[in-house]
Amino acid sequence: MGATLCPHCGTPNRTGANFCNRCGADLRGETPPPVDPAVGAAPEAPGDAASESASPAQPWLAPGFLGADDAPYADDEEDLAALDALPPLPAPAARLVSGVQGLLDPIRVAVMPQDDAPTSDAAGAPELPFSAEQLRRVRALLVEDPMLAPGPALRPAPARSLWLPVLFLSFGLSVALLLGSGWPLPAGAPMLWQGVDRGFAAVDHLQQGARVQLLWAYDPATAGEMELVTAPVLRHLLARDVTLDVVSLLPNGPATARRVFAAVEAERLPDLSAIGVHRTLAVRFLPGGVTVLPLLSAERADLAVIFGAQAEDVQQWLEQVAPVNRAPVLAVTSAGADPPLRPFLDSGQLVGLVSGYDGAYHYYELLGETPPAAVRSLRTQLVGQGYGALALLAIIVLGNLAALLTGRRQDG
Amino acid sequence: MSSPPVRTNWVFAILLVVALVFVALGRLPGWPGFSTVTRTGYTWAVLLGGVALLLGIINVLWLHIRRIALGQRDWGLSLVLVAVLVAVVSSGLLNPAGATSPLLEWIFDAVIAPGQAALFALLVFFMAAAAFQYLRIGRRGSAWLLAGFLLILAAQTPFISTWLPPGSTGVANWFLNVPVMAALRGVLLGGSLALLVVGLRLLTGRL
Repeated sequence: MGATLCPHCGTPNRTGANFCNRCGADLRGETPPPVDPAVGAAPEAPGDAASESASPAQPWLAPGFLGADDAPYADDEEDLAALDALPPLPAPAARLVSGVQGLLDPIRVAVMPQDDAPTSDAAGAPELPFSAEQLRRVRALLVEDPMLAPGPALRPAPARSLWLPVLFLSFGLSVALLLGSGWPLPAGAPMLWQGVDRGFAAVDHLQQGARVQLLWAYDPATAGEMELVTAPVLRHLLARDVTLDVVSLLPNGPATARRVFAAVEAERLPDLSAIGVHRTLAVRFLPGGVTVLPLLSAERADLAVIFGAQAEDVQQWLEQVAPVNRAPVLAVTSAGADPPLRPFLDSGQLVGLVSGYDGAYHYYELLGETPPAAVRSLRTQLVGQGYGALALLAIIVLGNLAALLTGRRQDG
Repeated sequence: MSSPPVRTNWVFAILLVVALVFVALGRLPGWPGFSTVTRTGYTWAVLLGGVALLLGIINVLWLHIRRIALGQRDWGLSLVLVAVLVAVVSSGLLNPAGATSPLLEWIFDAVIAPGQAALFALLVFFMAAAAFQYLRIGRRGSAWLLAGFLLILAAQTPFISTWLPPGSTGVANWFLNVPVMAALRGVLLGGSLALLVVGLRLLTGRL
């Protein structure tokens, strides 16, 4: 069976191959003479074969091209014989994607001599025009592996300074210690964003037994913030004694929902015993992601509440479900998702937007029955968030001042 | 160089048209039959999603069992993964309470939830480090970003905003509500249109 020599690296490839199996060079349009192993005829020089079709994207196909790692092509029989005399490379392991192997030859560390002796194999094959040290340096530069290139020419990278993460950690630990010790740190008043009062009114106007669709769209990664925001809204919904249809598209959504429901109901135990209701929470998990979201549009609802940490969760509901079942939508989200959702609130697609600790704080205020534990949690989070922002501000301002004073500038 | 000929995948194209028709008619009032058909289609999608999830679990399990069997790099981590997977699945299967079994709830509350939260919390440090690296006066264009960043962050942080001169909070809010919101809406609109165009090109074989 014949083969096609790559004009770039000289590797024999299967006849008809589009790309070189070793270096990825484009073999389409190239017509180098096939190599017949039985005859053993020397191939034509690759520069000659490529001379007519060199493109700007592949300048190495042009005749006379010399690259930075200018390994001369095997342009005569002697060099080809030298290459053939090298021990064969080990068979590669089975790959999911084959034929994509970059522009570098596999590193033959095992056959590299340890000194500057010319490269040759144990069988006494002809010498290659590179020393082992040269090969090692070139490869070390290209693979950025300092272990392959010991020597004075390549200085090791200077140790990276860890002062920034250490500063952050120190500051965070200090704030945590102060918060834990009960030291009265200034926290400031939470910001009042538009949408909280409208969201509260939408829930407050629900009749007893009204049907509410509840999409649980956050996972434990963002639960630290989301559970604090979710709690007052969920508390309000339970107080209205509505019928909840809880759905999640996330595999761990039901467990997250059950945990928050348990926490909220534990706070409301006196109220629940007063109204004599024992709830068993059933959370539906719908696999399939956003694809199956329109399935919920066929269900009638008086209100839809989205508990989602990402703006996309709310946006997808507004696109796939809300236009069909016409249920008003209240978004309960993280602070980070608030800005992208503001346009939907302004356009009336959202009846309310409760986001972040600020939104939770004001929702509790509207609810008028803020539990002390919730206030403590919110205050802790607000203080921590505020001091984190202060630390970020200080570090960036000080870093810029230091750069200005020392005259160090970086061009972007 | 001539571009390769466009090869339209007619199966995809027909599916595209049929799906468009069903989705459009399902959203119009007075077509209950179509909504039933689309609902059945979405139910199939739920089933397919469940099967895909199961296949994904089997794939992960098979991949890591192979890594352990072949002694590949970091096979110990694969062993931990397989052990945890078997423990979680068996704790759900063996208990009559199923997904609400106490052991499964404990694994979720004590292992999965704090682990995911801890990983996500690292994002704050990455963002802070990235802000520190990029928001430099000397960099091209970043002085504007730096000024906006300082103003917005200071104005939105409750107790820092009390230190600012009066009116600066209003300026920050104006920046948020007018130019930033305009850019954001442009990004939303552009992203949606791009997604639509790319989807159509993919379905019609012109990508």
